[in-house]
Amino acid sequence: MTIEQLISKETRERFLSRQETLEERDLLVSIAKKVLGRDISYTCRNCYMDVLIELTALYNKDREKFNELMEEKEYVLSRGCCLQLGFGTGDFLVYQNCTKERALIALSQNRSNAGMFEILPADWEAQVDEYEAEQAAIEDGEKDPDGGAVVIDSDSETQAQSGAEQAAIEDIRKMIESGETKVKIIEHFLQFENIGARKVSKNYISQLYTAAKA
Amino acid sequence: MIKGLEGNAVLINRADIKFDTVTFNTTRKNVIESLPLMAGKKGYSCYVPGATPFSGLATSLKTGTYINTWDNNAPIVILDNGPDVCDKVIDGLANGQFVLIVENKHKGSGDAAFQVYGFYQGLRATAGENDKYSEDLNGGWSVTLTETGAPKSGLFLYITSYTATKALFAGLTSAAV
Repeated sequence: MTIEQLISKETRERFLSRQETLEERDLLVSIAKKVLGRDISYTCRNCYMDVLIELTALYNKDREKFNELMEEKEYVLSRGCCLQLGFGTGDFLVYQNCTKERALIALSQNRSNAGMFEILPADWEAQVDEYEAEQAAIEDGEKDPDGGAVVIDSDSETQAQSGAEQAAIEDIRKMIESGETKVKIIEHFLQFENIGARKVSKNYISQLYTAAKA
Repeated sequence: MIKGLEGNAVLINRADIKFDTVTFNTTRKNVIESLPLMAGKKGYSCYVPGATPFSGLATSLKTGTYINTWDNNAPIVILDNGPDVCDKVIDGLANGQFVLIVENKHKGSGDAAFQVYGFYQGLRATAGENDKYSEDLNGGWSVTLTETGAPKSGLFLYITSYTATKALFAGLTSAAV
């Protein structure tokens, strides 16, 4: 049975008249647990209808969120924890709203937050690195927030590299070897105003980073 | 200041708390910011209907020879009876050690809303009764949980805002994902 069949008008009528099948009831209970984080008592008729209405509303209003909540969770925050997602924001991460994206935001803000998670994938640090690199690329304008690539001016690739640039690339190479992440390297070089004749920007440092890794 | 408690509270087995990762506010040591539970463990929702839920919940000073401490008394009612209730609820309450989180009607600026009992010494049953003709309980159970010798007069659960703390409070009893 699919979600669409479960939240259809016919199924709702069957729940209202207490003629739902065992399969429909079990499916509703399991989806309520996953999506709404709620256990339903098998003896409470009102609970079935309440949950069915809530699921229908969420499914129609925000399909993406619904599907995300249906997936097997890679990241699960421990119960009893609450992580603020960004200084001064009203957005926070708790057990019941923990999704992969929100978990990556929390972990990129402070990796020691990993201690607050009940379930973390083995490669969580690599995922956080990737997330940070994506965010840096979006900020630089190299990437659209929607995921498309922004074409970099190809002339910049053919510009002759000055001595200062070579030194910067060498420094970046050493920082990579010592285990520094791309975000930290970019942060370090943003302290300077110029490298050679070129003004320092995130985009420029990213290009030097790519050259150093090559 | 407003007296009284909201009807919903959360009861947690004290052994299910990950004490090594409990965090306190950096400046206010009687404010807990996170109370992580062990993997797979959850709290249990307690709902008491009526105008004065958890009536009798009180903190009192206990004088010692050198240091004074605090005793917390938490009476809870179980408006049911039966083999499952006795086996799964009453017997568990009789012999366990618990932490109770209640919501005060007085929210303050959000940080006074959620109060924690039993964190330091654990709440243990000191009285339990099933009076078949009780006017208040209609044949249900009453159990009193007590924590003796707590070092602080009050311990609160609060992070960032009332809304965030309320979500944290709700998460303690959420079904497993």
